[in-house]
Amino acid sequence: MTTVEASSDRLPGQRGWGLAWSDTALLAVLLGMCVVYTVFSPHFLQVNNFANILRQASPLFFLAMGQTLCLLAAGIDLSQGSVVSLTSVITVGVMMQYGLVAGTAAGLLVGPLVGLVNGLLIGPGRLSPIIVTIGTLFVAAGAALQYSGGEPIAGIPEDVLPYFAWVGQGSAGPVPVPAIFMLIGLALLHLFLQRTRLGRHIYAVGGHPEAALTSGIRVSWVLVCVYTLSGFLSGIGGYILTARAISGEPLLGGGDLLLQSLGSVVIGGTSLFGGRGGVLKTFLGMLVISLMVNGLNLLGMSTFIQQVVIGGIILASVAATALRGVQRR
Amino acid sequence: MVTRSEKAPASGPAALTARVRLPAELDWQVVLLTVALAGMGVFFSLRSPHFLAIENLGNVIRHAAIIYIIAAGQTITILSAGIDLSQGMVASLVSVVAVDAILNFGVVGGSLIGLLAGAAAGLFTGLMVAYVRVQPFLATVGMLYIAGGLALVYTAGRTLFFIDVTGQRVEAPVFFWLGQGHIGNVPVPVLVALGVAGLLYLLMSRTPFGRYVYAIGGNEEAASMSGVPVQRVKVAIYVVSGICVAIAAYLLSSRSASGHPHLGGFPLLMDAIAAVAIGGTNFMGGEGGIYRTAMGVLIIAFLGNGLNILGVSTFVQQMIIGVIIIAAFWLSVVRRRVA
Amino acid sequence: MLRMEGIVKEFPGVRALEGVDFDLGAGEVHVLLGENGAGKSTLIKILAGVHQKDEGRILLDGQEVEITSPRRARELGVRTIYQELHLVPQLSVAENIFLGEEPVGASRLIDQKTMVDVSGGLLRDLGRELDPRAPVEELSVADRQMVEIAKAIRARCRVMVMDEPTSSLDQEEVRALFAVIGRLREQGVGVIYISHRLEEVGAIGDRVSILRDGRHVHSGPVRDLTMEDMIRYMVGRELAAKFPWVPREAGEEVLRVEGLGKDGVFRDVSFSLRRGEILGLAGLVGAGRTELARALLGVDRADQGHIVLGGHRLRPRSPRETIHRGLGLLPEDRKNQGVILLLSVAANITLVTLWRLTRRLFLDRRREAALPHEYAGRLNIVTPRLDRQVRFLSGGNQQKVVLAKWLCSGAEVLIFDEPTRGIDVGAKYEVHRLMVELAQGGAGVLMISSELPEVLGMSDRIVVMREGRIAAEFSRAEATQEKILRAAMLGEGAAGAAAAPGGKEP
Repeated sequence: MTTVEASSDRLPGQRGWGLAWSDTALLAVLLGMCVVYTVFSPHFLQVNNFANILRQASPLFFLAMGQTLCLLAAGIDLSQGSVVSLTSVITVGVMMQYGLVAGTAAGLLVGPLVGLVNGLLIGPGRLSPIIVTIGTLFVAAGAALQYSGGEPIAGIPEDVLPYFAWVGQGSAGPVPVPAIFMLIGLALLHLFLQRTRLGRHIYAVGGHPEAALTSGIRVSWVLVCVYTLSGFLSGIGGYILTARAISGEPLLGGGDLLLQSLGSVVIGGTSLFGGRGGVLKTFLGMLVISLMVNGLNLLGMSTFIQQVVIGGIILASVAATALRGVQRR
Repeated sequence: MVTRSEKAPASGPAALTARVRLPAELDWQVVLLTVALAGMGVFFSLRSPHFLAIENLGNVIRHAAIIYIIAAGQTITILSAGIDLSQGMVASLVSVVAVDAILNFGVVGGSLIGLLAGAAAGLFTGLMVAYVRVQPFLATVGMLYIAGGLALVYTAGRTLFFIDVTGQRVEAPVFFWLGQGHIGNVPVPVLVALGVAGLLYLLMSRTPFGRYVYAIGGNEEAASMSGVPVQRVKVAIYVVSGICVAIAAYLLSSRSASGHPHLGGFPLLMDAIAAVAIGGTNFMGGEGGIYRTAMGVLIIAFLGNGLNILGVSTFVQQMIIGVIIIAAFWLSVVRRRVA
Repeated sequence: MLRMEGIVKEFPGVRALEGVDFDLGAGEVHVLLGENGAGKSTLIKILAGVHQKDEGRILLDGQEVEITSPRRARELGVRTIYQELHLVPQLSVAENIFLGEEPVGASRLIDQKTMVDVSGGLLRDLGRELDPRAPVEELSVADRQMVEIAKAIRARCRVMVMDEPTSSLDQEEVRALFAVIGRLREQGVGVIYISHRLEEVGAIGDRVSILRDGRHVHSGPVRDLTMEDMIRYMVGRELAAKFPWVPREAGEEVLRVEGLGKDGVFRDVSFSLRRGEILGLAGLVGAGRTELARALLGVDRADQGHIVLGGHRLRPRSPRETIHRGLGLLPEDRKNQGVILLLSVAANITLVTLWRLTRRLFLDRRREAALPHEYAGRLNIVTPRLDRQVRFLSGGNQQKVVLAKWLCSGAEVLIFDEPTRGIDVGAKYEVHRLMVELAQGGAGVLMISSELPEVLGMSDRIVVMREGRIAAEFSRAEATQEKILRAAMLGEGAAGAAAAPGGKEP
């Protein structure tokens, strides 16, 4: 058979988003925001403002990291906010009765437990991540309300209080404690994703699930791990947040935390098409969001407008990428 | 493999319209939707005795019906791999135009003008999308601002109540009945919604138009190369969406007995999109339908109602809905890539 | 070494494998042949652990084994090269080659260096210099196929399954692959080789087994079978001639192209097509043939010239103009332009003609349901149900759906762009037969093809394009492969014999 063909079928490189949101562009955006805010408000460029930003961003960081893992594996975790709430009430509740260690242990167990349920239903159970995590969202939120009777739980014993509060409110020099956790977490997670087998497998499962399967990867197990980890990270975020508030809040995670978590990942450019992206990108995205919130606060804009702005940007980004995907066909 | 084309069902749409066939994913989803709905019902009725009250349920269904009308129009747009973000604001526009027209020209004239307003908005959007080739996202966002702005300008920000220039109340019983009345135990809006659903069902599965919508959503280029009148169909799609919005805005105005420039807005739009999303229609087009959207609407409506009863702020509710929309949107992309 | 006995596999609505036996010796290359849908893919997927058999046994070295997952298959020493390239696009070459089996150092972290070095070595052995760190999505299809091959041969195994490993490779690369297979043989690995390229069977195979309709039909040493025999077993009938061409009366002119041109793509194209005629349009890829077809349909607009279609003179501005006048195009990119994958078979078939099936705005459901039946039957479209989405059909059947669509619309001028690419032998023959039938029925057929045997075997007249212009025209009688190729590469009247690339005469 003499088929004369020029085999030049290069497929266009899919670097996540395309030009507009590459990492350098993101950094540029961040710098731009700093400039704008500095112009508008003298308070912006102060050290303790930045410290504040980092402190406030830490819980979001952990949630965004967990969400990154889920998105990389072509899934999503909508239950994060509720995990935060549940972690909050259980931590304080147990701490009041049994002390710091028990409270911490119990609180940090909540996240992985919820995550495990998610993972089992999504992995071996093969159910849709959206529906499963919406379900756990309700269940965990409801559990938090139940456990706390609908009211915040206050009353951590005096001898325990300073240690617990230090986690959320303390500083080592100018650097807030939560920020330290954040940086440690970032390093560990980056290493995990890039250099361990499980990390690579997460990318594979999200990027080409069939290839992953036939290469011998246990896809179900990977998914279970992913969601359990996401739950665990959400729990850490909730713990830190609770340590700042030093009371168990049943609606702690009920606000825009989830939206910001998703927003961080989306803006950071991780894997709308699955399998591409990473924690560093999400970190940048998270910084963008945190800066935005902080700056808008300084400028005196209401939280409602902030929500609209963030929501709008996210929606626009998602839509733009999806539309571009339609074009590509 | 043996050819079994002889044994394929010989009758109607079931044999011809492609139902989504991702067994593990989507059939489960329909089951899950029903279970979720039931679960929600149980959950909320346990937490509050008010939930199951006939009055409450009636209210919810009435509201759900109105949302469904909009969501159905939205479904058609999304099926064609487009979207109509202007629905909320066009509703506001229709609301003020219709009420003003009713005050000036009576119920019949006013209603027609209201419907025309919605259709006109849809026509404009459709022309933009089909002939000027603007992305649906951008075109409808543009329309959104235009319609919203027009509504505000038209009424200088005021709400139009049913009082004429002398301050006397104007009676428009037919108009009010449409939004607030009952036939037997069934609220009128529900009947209207059923009627709209029926018409749209006929449109989508019994006319070439419906098939073309799925074709365009499935693969616009292939559809065009197969002779589908892509541009005309697209214009029609947005006109249909506009008309649906007009009907719903009409009913909403009737319920609140006023023309309100902020009547629809984002909450309405988000409810509609969330309903489509939960129903499982794929945002990349070509898969889904108005039946699933009905389920989505019920879930959204009862969700909102239950959360209200539990005292959760509307603010938080909006967040939840926003997240759901984002999630479903993204999942559409993922599913299509994998498929 | 490997023995599969009585394998039965059923999917909803279809019995894919009906008691199939297969065996493989160590160091043997056993070719598996069969039309699309014969069950080859299913059989090897069962072996690879992707599907589970319903009945039957699998024995490895005499021991019965249960292959419950791909992981298990790998553990048992079965490795597979998939036709659809199981590579994760966003990961690097090295990461893909080691997917699932990444080497770890003492710290439990992945040993990047080893991965990169070994991958580089593997690829070099295959004759390819690729950067192991490059993301796979940036590679050409041929390079990706090489990565897929490297991935499979990386680790020792007992059974190597290759599903269409050469579909995107050129001659040199095929030779490199065959060298690899030779080495595998020496190592005592058993190779199961699936291919539609019958020439390869002779070149590389020791034994061949043929499946048809889910049944095992024949096995034997390759040297005992001619290609004719193999085809016969595969399709179950004598292929009297390779191409079902019969002479025909040509009628009146049904399409005339006058000086059609599109800036930067093609120029000055003129020819005419008569009823009952099959006009072959040959040329190298990039000569502008597909672009010409698109301009004829009206998808892209030409800049100069006209066409005369159905008596009307026009320069098409939209597909609707030409489709209305009886034109139809079966595009080269079948999946993305020919069919709508998400729609059902039936919906695809009636798509063009939908407006004619309405009575008072509504579809006439009975007629609408009957038509797909009729055409699916006539064209022998293999599908368990007509409301199945087209994306589940094999390539050959998808092409038939496209053809059915145009037949259903009553098109009288049909343009086929690479009509049998990626289709198995049996379906190819059917498509050709249908083409002839169409022409006999009075249609005019323009056939664009890069397969010279097809061009020579099917055309009544041949037009050769080169770099956007018509280079030569031949009648069926005077055309030869050399002449066409020379015209395609060098233009008409080039001196000296152009060496035709090697390849056996069919």
